[in-house]
Amino acid sequence: MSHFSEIKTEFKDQDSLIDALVVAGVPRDWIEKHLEPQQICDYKGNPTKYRWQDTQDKRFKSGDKAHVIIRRSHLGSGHNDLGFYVSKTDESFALICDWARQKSGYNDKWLSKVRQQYAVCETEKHYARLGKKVHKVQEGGKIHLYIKAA
Amino acid sequence: MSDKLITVQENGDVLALYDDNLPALGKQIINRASHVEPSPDGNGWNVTLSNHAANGPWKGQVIGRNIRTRREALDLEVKFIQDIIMHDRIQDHESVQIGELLRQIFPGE
Repeated sequence: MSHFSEIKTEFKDQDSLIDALVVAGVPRDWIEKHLEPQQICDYKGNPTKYRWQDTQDKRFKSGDKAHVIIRRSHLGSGHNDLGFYVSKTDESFALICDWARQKSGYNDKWLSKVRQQYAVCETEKHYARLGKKVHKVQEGGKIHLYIKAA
Repeated sequence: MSDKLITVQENGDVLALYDDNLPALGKQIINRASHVEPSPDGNGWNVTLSNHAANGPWKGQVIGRNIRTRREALDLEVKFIQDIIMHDRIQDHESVQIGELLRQIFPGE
């Protein structure tokens, strides 16, 4: 009589994303948080246009905008700004250049770790609001979260 | 009743048994995990796993027969899925007798 629920984790909460970035190794004081999304730039200081190039989304025709940003000045030479567009109602997405995703420490594996930590953080907050504690167990690459039965 | 288990995969995606209080983390796909039905011989309840891929090597298998009460059958179902399947335990399922496995899950019963 049971059903599996498979959930594709999306970044919907800025504070939980920032907590996840910190767990994934980003110093908290490197991370900018904005209520209104701000322009992100490449290593030369020009606006990036990943979203427009990938999806032709007209909102981003003049350049990528993000709510959570790690500026290139923290990341070393050659890096573009890293950004996260975070929306509770629309699609949320990471704005990271192909070079970084393949060659830098901020690659797809790192992004997976951020998503995993985000899911853990949001789950813990959700059950705390319901008055329940979450017990966390790491097993290989997975994290098992146990919620005490009522 | 078992504690609720939510597994966060390495890529951040989440697997759990459905309930109405799961956190809203993103798009959710819900599929049948198992069936609890009266035994055809009228003797208790049978528990059968669905053919969903998440059941791995156990998909389609009967994991409990002629269980006395429906409540016990439902408990077995949840405990088996959470303790065995969601932990990727017993990959070589053919080498393990299900009865032996159930004794591991429910020691002393």
